[in-house]
Amino acid sequence: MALAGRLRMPPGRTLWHRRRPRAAIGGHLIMSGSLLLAIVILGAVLAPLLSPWGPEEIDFSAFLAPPSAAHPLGTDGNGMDLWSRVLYAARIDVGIAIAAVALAVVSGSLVGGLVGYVGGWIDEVAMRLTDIVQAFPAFILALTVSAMFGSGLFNLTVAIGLIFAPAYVRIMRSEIRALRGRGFVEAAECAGNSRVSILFRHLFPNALTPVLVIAPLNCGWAMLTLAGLSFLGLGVPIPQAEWGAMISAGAADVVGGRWWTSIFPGAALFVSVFGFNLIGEGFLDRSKSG
Amino acid sequence: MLAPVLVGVSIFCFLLIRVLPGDPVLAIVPETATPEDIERTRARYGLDRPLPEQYGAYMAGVIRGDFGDSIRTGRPVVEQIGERLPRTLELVALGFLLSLGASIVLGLFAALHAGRLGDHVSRVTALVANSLPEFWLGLVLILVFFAILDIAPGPTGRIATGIDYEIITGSLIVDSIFTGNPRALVSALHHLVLPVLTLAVIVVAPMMRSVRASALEVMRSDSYRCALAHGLGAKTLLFGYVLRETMVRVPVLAALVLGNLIGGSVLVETVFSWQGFGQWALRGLLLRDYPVIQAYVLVTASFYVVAFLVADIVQAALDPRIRV
Amino acid sequence: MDHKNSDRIGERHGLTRRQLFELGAGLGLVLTLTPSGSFAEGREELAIAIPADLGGWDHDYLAFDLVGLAVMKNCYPFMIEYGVKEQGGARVMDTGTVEPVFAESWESDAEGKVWTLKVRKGVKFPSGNEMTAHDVKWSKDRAFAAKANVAGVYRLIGLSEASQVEVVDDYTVRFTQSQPSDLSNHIQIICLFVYDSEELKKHATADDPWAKDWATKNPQSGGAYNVADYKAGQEIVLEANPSFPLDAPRVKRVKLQVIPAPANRRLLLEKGEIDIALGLSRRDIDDLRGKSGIEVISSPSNEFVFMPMAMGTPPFDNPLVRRAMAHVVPYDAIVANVYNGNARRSTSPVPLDMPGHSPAGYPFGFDIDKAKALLAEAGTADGFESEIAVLAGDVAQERAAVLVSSAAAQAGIELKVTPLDPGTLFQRRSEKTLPLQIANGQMWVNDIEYLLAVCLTPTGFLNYAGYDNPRIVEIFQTLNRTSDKAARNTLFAEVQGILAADVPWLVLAQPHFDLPVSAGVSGWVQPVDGLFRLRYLDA
Repeated sequence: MALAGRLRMPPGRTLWHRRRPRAAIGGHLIMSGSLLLAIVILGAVLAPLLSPWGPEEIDFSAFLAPPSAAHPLGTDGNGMDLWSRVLYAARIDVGIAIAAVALAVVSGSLVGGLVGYVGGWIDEVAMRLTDIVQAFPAFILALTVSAMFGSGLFNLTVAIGLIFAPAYVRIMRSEIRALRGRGFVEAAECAGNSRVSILFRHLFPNALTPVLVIAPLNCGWAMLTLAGLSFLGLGVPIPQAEWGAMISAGAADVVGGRWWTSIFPGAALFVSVFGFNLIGEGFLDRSKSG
Repeated sequence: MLAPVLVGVSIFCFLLIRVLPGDPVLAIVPETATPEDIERTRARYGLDRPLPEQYGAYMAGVIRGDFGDSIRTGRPVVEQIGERLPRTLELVALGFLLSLGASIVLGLFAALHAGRLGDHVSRVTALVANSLPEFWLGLVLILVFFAILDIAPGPTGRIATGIDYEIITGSLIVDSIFTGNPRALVSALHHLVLPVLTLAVIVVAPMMRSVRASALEVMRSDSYRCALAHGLGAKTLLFGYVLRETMVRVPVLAALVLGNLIGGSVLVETVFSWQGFGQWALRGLLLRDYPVIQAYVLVTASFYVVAFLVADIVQAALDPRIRV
Repeated sequence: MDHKNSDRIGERHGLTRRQLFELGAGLGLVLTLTPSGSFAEGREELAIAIPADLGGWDHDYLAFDLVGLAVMKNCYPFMIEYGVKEQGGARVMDTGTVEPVFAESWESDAEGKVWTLKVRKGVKFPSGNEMTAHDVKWSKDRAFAAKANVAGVYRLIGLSEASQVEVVDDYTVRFTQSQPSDLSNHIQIICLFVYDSEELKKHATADDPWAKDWATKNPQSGGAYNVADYKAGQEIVLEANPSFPLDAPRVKRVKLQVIPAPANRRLLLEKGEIDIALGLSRRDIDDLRGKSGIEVISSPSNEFVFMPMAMGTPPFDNPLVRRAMAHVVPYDAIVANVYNGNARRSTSPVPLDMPGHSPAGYPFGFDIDKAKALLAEAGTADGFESEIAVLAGDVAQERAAVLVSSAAAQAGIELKVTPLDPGTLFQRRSEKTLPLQIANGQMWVNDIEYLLAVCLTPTGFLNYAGYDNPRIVEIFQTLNRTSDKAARNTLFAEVQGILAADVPWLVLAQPHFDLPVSAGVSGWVQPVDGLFRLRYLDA
């Protein structure tokens, strides 16, 4: 997992200072990133048409076979077709990454918005809790959560969402706090709107942009996190097609020269993450210049 | 804010691993054990006591510098940290240095070509590096440099077998220099190349951005424009102003990278069979070796928290008004 | 400690995960002789790559740890040992004979209830203390106090109190069992190791009267080899013990290097940096066959891979369903594809080569139609869903499970393969909440009575299926008192008839033992317990 993870995201602290009016480039980045992702997603959707093999179908005549006409990317140790598995795996990897980040955005924003709006000791406590979660080594957190509830896809999504949520809590909180003193909020308060309605009608919509801007970057990172978890052996159930698990299953064979089992799934993972990162960069550019 | 967070982390960790399914005692007793045997073993590690009491005893130990004994091996956890942590630190420190060098070059290059092709190229390069799964990158490097070209050692740990060496600090480089053991030094360096490269690639992107950003900041500052207007040479400008400014940021970068990588090295360690701190913790987690996991979490969280503290302090000291 | 149990962990999983547990794979592959020795120069030193460091040096308190047990087999003084016999060109341990090692003699009364051990005179521990009956007594008192490994198996032969072990004179110890037993020799071969009691007493404290702390952290010596050097987590250097009473070990120095990833052990062997690589994957081993400078020792082994079904939980409480399951296992595909052909198809829950084994114990073959018919008869014609638990990182288990699940799908049975980390696996095993799981076993005592005690009676600690058949229990108790060969054989046959009807396990395969070594290494004796005996080695 991007266990070096916190470095991969724009934490809004220290590292990412950017001052470049490069919206034009941003457009290109978003375009090319979307294109890459579109290819990956199209491959996942059309997988049944693109490969005669099911992702978990065993070819008893080809165990760990190198790329050939029958199996364009070869087969793995279970005799399963890698081309087919690489395609199908996108459903899991891209799907979980987006779901986990969506979960983090929603839950993190809600919590961050609430504590930022309410303030006081609740805010203090919430901030310390996010400190704690963020100081916790990510892989231990993810592994414990997924071990606690079993290695189902849903639990993985929750585990990864949990790792990402604190960042959104922070961002949303600071946005809300900045907005709180603004005129339109005070006006709404004077007009006798309830706090809940102020929060949902006035504050959230205005604070969402910075939250959504970093979401694509986080999707890329979430995908790396998922694959990393699988690589360590506690990700998806077997023999589910998932890139990290496939890389892991072939890792031992790379040294012996059977490179295809790990290299292809890794390349697919890289391309997808790269796609998300391109989009994320583009978003950042736009938001900075816009 | 340091201590409360760490106490919070320790409580959180303590509770989290105890609600995990899996029992460390069952992993170490032989299957012939009767329920009484199991209870006795449980008592031996104090795991039969109420949780607050266990936690109190644990923290009392931690304050004395005693992290308890590993349930799996019976050895003091502190001793094992002393063995494992230097291995990881060595890897991470070198990865950081390499990455720093690369990011200064790339970052300055990008800043000097800001908005032009060179900038875009270096930016996309950083994005590519940022998108690589480190465990896969490690495997690709092994495939190319070991399996195909055969110029790097296989992923067999930190040193070739058959070389005798003495352990003082736990860092093979330091130890082999201290003991005047060139053979060990060469082998250790050889084994470090690929894992260090892998780590360096994955952290180069954020560091390069930082270098680029601060370089741009300098180039837009009044004093720089003034110097430029006075016709100072390009070299003086580059080294006297821009580079100096970026170097000032190094401590912050170092703190952040180290703080994050100590807890983030487990994948690279696994690929290269490094037997470092992260792999130790992973094994501890799988066997529910509570003292091991607790110690690991506390140590990495401390690194992380201290890193941010250092970063904040240095940042404050570098207040823009007194800069350049 | 009396079985090479269960989990071959991380067998073929290169650099990936759980390297730590590969010991199962490593040492589960038991060592045999290869009739090589084409240019046996007689080297003084051998390097062996092992998958993990040992968990501690105290045999009494060692957690189940195959590396630890194997190392201790070589560095602790064991009083008695199996003999060695030739079998099909290989040297194997002869479970029918007992050879005194540090013992002068080991004899029982006519009934087999009272056993007398005479210790050799004049044998010294490395500390200089002489090994005497008092060391034996102290060591066994310690074992009873530990209530762990030894005490657990001693129950099987009616030893449960320290008072049953008495010092007769300085060199004689008497063991008085509560009942005669056919297993006494076997159990005592496992348990009769001795500590240097004078030395340990020096390190005892009021809190720790048996010097557990010290014995865990410090290498114990005095066996065929002494521990010359130990770097935790890295290497163990053994040197031949000059006071070893039998033939001196040929190889004077053995370096055991901890190399966690199997791919790395393979690399080192290929590069000639080590002589023996333990715990390689099947595929690695096949790659190594025929490479110059490397030989692969191969022989059928007594390790068996099985899939216990939770007999107390629906749908596996129905014998028809269990029989249907036995027909959905693609046995030949498992042998061919999981083990690359280096395994035998097992034909009874009683392993091949165990005296009394009969193919009548498991009369099932891969036959989806039969399985469907049985499912219909059982009232589950539409199939059902369940899960197979495997140890995460154990590739052989994962692959076998994937094959079974893919075949079962044809009969409408949806089986999810769930890899569990060892912490969770052990707990769910002890709670008996795993409907299906894959397990590996190797009986340290090659006897059906022992198999029943361990695996197939309600109190057996490897009874993962929760099997409880009163007649089997009765037969076990009868066997306990029966030493007549013919009578035992009749009971053995009956046991397998019952097992064929009850089907507590799916019997998957009996993998061969395969061990790649550098050319010239010879002399391996295949141990029945999977723990290598280095003293037979030659290089």
